Amino acid sequence: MATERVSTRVITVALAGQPNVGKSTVFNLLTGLSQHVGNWPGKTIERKTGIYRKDGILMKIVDLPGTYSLTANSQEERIARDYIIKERPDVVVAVVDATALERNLYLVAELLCLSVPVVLALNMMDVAEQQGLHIEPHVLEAALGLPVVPMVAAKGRGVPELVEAIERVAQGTAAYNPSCPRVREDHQGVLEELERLIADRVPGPYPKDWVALKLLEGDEEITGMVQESLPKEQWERLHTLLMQHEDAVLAVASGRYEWIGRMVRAAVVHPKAGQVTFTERLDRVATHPLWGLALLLGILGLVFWLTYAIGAPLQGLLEAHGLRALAEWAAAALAGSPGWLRGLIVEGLIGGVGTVLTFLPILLIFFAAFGFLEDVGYMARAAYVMDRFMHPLGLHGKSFLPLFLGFGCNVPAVMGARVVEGERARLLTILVAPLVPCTARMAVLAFLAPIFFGRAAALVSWSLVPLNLAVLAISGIVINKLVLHGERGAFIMELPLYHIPNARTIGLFVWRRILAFLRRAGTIILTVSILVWALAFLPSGELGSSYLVGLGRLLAPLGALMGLGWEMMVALLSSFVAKETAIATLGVLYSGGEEAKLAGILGSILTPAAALAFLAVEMLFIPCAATVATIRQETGSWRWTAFSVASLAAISFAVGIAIYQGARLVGWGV
Amino acid sequence: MLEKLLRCIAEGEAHNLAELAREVGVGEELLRPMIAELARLGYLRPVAAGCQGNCTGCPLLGRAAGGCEQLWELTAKGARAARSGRPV
Repeated sequence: MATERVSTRVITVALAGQPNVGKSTVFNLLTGLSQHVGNWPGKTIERKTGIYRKDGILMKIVDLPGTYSLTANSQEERIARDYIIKERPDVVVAVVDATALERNLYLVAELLCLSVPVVLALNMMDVAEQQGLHIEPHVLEAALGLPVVPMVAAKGRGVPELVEAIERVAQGTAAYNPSCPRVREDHQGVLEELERLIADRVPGPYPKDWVALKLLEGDEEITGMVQESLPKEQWERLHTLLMQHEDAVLAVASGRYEWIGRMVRAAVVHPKAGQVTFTERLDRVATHPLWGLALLLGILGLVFWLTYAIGAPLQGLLEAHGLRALAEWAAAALAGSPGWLRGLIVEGLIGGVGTVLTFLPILLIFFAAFGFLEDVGYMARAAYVMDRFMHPLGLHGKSFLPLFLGFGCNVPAVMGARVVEGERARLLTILVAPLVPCTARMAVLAFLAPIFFGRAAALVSWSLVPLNLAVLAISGIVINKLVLHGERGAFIMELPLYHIPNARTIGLFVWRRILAFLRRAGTIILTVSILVWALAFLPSGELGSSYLVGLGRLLAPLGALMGLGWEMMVALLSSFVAKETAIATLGVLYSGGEEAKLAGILGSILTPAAALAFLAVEMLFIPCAATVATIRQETGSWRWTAFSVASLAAISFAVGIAIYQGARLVGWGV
Repeated sequence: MLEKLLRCIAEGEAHNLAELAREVGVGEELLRPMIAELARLGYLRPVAAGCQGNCTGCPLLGRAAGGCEQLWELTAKGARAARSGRPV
């Protein structure tokens, strides 16, 4: 099979590596824009593939998920090893961080056991040099017995050499005689006995020696497969043997560490003790419990300032000169058409999808700022600093990354939970993510707070954001203790070194996210916009007698507990489409769409207590439909999606009622 | 190698990374992933989560392996493996 592929000059290459080693940069360099992003079959893990073409060579590049090892502890690890074993790529490129070779070679040690040709991409050589690490790629190549290519992927260095090494290995013209790690001698006999016991019953397509090794390591997935394939009596003998060597995993891992030690001793000279690197100097501040937090708050502030200072005026321009002009043009063009068609296009489509699209400049700047921080190596520090605050929630620092994304939009926050290791922590992150106030909620707050509270608007806004975060923390603690029973896996985080950001990597980061946003606007948001417009139009064509208003009247008793009329409840309900829709709905219900008139009416009909309750509910309410759809997609469960929606509705109304009734009790603002 | 590390940890009250590396005969860079591996396998567990940065009066202050965020302890499984006395 492999020979056929090579003769037609098509080479399948799998990129493997631990997280934060620059694997994505290598993938981007090789594939450019010829990338396809999807999901691994049956999983919520992103699958990236791409094509490299040059001088008659065609390489199909598959970017495997970042994994520390291949021990089937996580979905990512299972995907990576299953792909290599079942799909048999022609070459596996192991991308390793030259500055953390000891940690990175563990994965290489496991890859070599899979009997697929491996090429080692020794990335971040420039940073290793800055740190005073002296690595001899040729010596490492001789020790490992496979091609080693020194690279600086962030600067595009080493790519031609990598391509050449892949081609030579695929064609069988490279010197390839890998030195594989061996199990410690006192366990060799057990390993051979295991191989004998499973001899003719090895579940395909797994190699026999690898299956025996995994049995010795106590790999649950492989053990289960072997149990199914063996006759009962043979399985019992094998099981007894494994029980007698319960700690054999230490012998297997020790063999790998001894192998790593030999490789590193041969090829790496470490700097003398006492030399402080650039990264260490920066990290003294960036990871300090106090200064690190201050720096993080400062950077967060800067990101928001940049986003609003540059993005908001652009959004205003887009709205004034793009959206409004388009709506006027469409209204004029459709002047002679039926009212329902004009309403559907002008109010439903342009008013719904168009409004959401005006957020594009804000998202563009927000994602660019994030891409920069991620690429420069800072985001891992942010997670590290936040780690201690995440522990009481049963989460670890990595959950901070998606939650932080939630300030922009809850959809990427829920999707971003993919970076969190462990299904339980991932689920908890998804459940609390909608409580992070997104830009759309903040926009509603920014519009309504001055109408209700005048000069005190800034103070009210500042108090409502921490309210959201406090509710997030309390919800996390409660869900963790009561629903998920407080389990939390150990977590080790490798802090990547700081490096000069790569414009191409940041550009691709922004491009992919914007593309996903546009795709969503064209599908889910479009559908829901039409649906809500129809609910407001049907059955009579009058808003006052529409289904939407009927629904609002049903909720009036609940609204009364918060001092809110049915119109305010309809506005809350309509915010399910997109948060900003609440303002549009209020405009239609109170003032026929005139913004200035709306401000006057709202300011006079609501008491301060009711207005505060409304803003608090709006900030905590069920997220928009796109976020709910994403929760369903990421959890793969209607049950958890329903739990999320029901709990957020209950929390928001409980807080709203508490605020209004509390204010009544103390006699404030009623 | 890993059994030796477990025995070294079991022998003392607290170790710093440099001491442990010397005792096991490896570099600190290799010791870190070994510790992480033992934690993954359930022989060690991180304990920093429990103290929440409340270091005042802590007898481990300044002696913890690599600082408070990288403080580990033996689990019952780890203690058993350390006692089993396999040759190293």
